[in-house]
Amino acid sequence: MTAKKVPYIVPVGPIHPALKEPVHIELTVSGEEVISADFTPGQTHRGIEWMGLSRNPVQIVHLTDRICGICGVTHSLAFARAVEQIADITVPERADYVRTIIAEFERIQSHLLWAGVAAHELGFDTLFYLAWRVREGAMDAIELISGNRVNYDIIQIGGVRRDITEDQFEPIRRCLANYKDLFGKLKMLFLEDAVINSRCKGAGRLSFEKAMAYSTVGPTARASGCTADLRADYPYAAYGDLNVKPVLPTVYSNDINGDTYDRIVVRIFEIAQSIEIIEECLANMPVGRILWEEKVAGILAACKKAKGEAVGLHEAPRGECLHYVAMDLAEIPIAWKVKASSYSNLHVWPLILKGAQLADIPIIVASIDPCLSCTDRVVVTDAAAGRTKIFTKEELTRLSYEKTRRLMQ
Amino acid sequence: MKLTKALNRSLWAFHFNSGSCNGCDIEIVATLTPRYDLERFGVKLVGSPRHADVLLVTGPVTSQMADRLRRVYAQMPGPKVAMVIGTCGLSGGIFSTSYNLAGPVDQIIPVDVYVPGCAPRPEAIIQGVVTVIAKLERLEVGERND
Amino acid sequence: MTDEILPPEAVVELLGVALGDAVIDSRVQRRSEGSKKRENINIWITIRRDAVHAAVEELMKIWYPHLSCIAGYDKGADSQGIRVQYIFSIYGGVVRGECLVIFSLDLPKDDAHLPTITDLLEGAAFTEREKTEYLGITIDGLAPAIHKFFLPPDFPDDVYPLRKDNKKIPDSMIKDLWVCGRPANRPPAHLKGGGE
Repeated sequence: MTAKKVPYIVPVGPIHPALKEPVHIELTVSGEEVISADFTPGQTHRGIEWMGLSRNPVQIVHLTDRICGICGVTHSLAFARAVEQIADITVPERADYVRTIIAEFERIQSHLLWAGVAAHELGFDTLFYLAWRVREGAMDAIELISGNRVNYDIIQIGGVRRDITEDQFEPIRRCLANYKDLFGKLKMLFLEDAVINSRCKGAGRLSFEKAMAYSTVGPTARASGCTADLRADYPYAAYGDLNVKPVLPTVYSNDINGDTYDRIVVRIFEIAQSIEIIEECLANMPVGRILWEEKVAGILAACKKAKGEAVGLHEAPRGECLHYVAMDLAEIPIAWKVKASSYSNLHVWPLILKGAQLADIPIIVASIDPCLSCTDRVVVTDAAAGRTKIFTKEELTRLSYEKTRRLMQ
Repeated sequence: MKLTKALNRSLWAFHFNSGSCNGCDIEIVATLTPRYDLERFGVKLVGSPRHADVLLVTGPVTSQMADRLRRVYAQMPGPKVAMVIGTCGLSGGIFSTSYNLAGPVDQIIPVDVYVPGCAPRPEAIIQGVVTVIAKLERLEVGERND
Repeated sequence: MTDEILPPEAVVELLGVALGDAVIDSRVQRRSEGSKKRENINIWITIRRDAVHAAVEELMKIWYPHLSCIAGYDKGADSQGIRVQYIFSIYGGVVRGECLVIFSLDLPKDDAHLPTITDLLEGAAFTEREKTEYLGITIDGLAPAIHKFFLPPDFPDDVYPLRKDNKKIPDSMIKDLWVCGRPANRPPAHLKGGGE
């Protein structure tokens, strides 16, 4: 890398897809080693919570779908659960199962998406293409159920907008069987590969103590040994009927290191777990309605009579997603707070980047699954030279590729 | 469709996320990966606007991104086309009433092709790219006539 | 900290004894979903504003808590108060045992100060800074931020997105994307509540 003072900046910018996660990281480095890191989210701030305070809950459900294009059901499920608690709406059992099934398909596609991106960050593009090809199976199942590939819009206050009909079971089961066949291959490709092993083991380590003190969630926390998984700990939707066990890195190896490799292990094995959950849900689907009230006017009338506050939780692919809603005898809520799952994980970056090598930044930053495009731009201050370089994501990825190549020689 | 020498090998695209929900961005990548495989036409994403023929813009353009969008567009060599992917880049869509937006995209840079949808399907994006090729061809012919 | 899993009523009682008259009211909310109707439990406790640090300290004696986030809202343009919720969960990792503990408190707008809890939970700084940026609550004891974390860097000072009073988002900041650049002979479509 030439030491230009102000190199060319690609203004793809430090933007980030999900709610408050657009981010820009500043690292102080000495040579190749990161001494400290700072980050600035806030570039794609769209004021979603503020917009929610002028819309009614049925409209907000559609807004929540578009908080993040990957977590299409996560936010709407958490929000709907909060409103249902305030308005005292009982969700039909069948709707709980449909919600669970779609949420698990989302986990499969999100983890495969992440696995592909992680492989890409390491310069392993064959695996990136393979993971994305495999992901299309889950996308087809989601499309079959909801009619959409992304932003499913399937959740409604008091249930779901579409049922899973009898003739859809067969293609869904086929899709799951296909994933079961592929799982061994995925496991081998991601976990036994020499490059992934040498690049990810020991990189971006997060200790159990710090994972707890920073209240991390999801696979990031579980890779550090925290057993927290809302699906097991906090019965909601159909998860209370199932026996979900949190996936820890010990499913594959003997010890827990909390490094990038462990995060891959957790995510790969969660795909297998999701397949099992969907199968169990399909086998035990209760019959009945899918909506508490079919007419939107009826739902809004119930919201108008609602007073109180509630919290809706959901274990998203990235971890706990929380919506706090308060209503006061009006259609429009008086408060709405969205806590996306990456919100609880982003702030460990300064910890896990410390001491890392420059070439490892893309994979470490990606390892907490901060949705997708977080690594877009990083400012690097060379402490010895006292100058600031802005690396584009492309340059960083190139550094990462070069390191992989060195390891291969 | 036949483009001139400058463009007959491939169409390189630069992807600019101006504050979208990531749905369209995911679909752009899905379009390029094996199921839809836009790369078989030589279309690929590049990391710099200076290498790009097509600008793919997603999102309603937040206030911070407006200037960057202008600069990216200015950096692209001609003939160039801009393509908006997703409803929120067209009209703000579901985010239209927010306080931190400077869009829609066509208020900031000239837009040649619109791909509506929230998010548009990969087929729609491919259709958009084909339209872009046709448009570039017309631009090329226009330049030769000049 | 004990390893014993207490029923929610016992948690409420423990906190009530420890915090004394700082607890204004409390309730245990149960919700069941799915076929087997297994319950999940949320504990709501309203406390006096000065007791927040002590409340977190007491909670930590029961179980090492997970801080989801700090939420908050402006009670209205006419109201003088902000209501803040500290959303914790305890017994995380215990199968079907996780239980939310939500401390709510009222804060006057003209004295919007809260003590930091970062000395107890390091990771709280992130969500505390968010409250400063969104609601204008000053967090005492937290090192001043060198830059904005949630809002864009050029966001005007003294405007807080979630405030509903004179510090709210001014109309001048709102650009209706649906209308701008739109031919005048098309029907308008505003999003102004009501209907789907």
